[in-house]
Amino acid sequence: MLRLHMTLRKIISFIPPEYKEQEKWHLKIITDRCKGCLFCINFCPTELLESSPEINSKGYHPPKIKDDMDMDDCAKCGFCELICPEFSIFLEKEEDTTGAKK
Amino acid sequence: MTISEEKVDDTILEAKRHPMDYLLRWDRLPHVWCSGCGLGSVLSCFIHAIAESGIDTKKIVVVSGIGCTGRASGYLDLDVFHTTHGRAIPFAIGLKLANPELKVIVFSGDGDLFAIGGNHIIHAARRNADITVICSNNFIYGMTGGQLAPTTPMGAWTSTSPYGNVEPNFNLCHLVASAGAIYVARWTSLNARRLQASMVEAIKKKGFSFIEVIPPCPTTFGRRNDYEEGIKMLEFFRENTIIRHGIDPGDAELNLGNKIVVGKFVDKEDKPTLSDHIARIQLFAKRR
Repeated sequence: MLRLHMTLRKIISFIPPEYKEQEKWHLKIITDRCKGCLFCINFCPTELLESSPEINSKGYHPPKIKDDMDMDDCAKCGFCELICPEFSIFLEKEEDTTGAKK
Repeated sequence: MTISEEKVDDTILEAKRHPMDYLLRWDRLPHVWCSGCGLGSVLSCFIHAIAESGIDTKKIVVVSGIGCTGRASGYLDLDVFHTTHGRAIPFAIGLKLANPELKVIVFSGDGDLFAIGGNHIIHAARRNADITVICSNNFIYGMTGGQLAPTTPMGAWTSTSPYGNVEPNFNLCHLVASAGAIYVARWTSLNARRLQASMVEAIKKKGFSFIEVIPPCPTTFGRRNDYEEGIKMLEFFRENTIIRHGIDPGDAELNLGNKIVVGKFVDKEDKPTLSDHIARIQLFAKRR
């Protein structure tokens, strides 16, 4: 599975940048709201997230992106935002400040 | 070669505000609901539905009763009303009759709406009062310590039925549909997208619309019934939920052994509402 994943990423890295998605998306989190219910981790369609070893101010482990994955693997479905009971994690499009090509 | 060539985002960024915070009293967060409780997901779907429906937020009123779900009104930055136990629907009907321009939504739990307020909801459905009711059915009286509720499935273990429940439970959708509701749907809190779309549909509907949501309750229901974590109950929902649109809600019983039948059961059009009748009678009275 991991090998297939790395192969796919190699293929993607050969695509010239002008054909790549221009929009940049970020996963953001308000750490202190998280109560560690694991909903976002278990029901992510691409299994992007895992529990972080660090703890927040309430003593829960907030989610983090897996070490071998990054935001290119995110499906941008926003299901984590919808199902998060604490209004903690959300998906946000980066504001276009650099004047990138359209 | 692969990863380090261009800068990639491999961390979750820290933020201060959530994009939906404009509908929330964010200074009250984090809320009182337990870790693993699904009520937050239902509230999240609700505020996304309000944002998607495009209705002016100054014209939306959310009324809630007592109970775990009743706390939801305290976290919404809309016109909200936290009423006495079981009387959310009379307050909502009063608001709607006093100002017919308002969009009145009742957001409450099963104990509040169907146990102490049971009569109010069937008569609101009979009159076709122009309100939307979102009832989250967690099978139990959660806030008071997990006592037996009218919605507890037969055989479930609660703190007041230590050898299992011996009473048959209410089928909320069937009850409301029989009393004359024009829109009846049931979803679990895991069907978040469908729940959100259903809420938008129900809010825009003219007449008595009803949505039953099933969130996980790990602390009081799950702990005694082998679902001690919210995630375990959601996994159960994922494997045991079937979607049946348009079936007779009488066939969609909620029992422990059976699959959970969800979907949009009733969707009728153009039934005169209570507000229509009142407006007609007011016109008649003025003419005399």
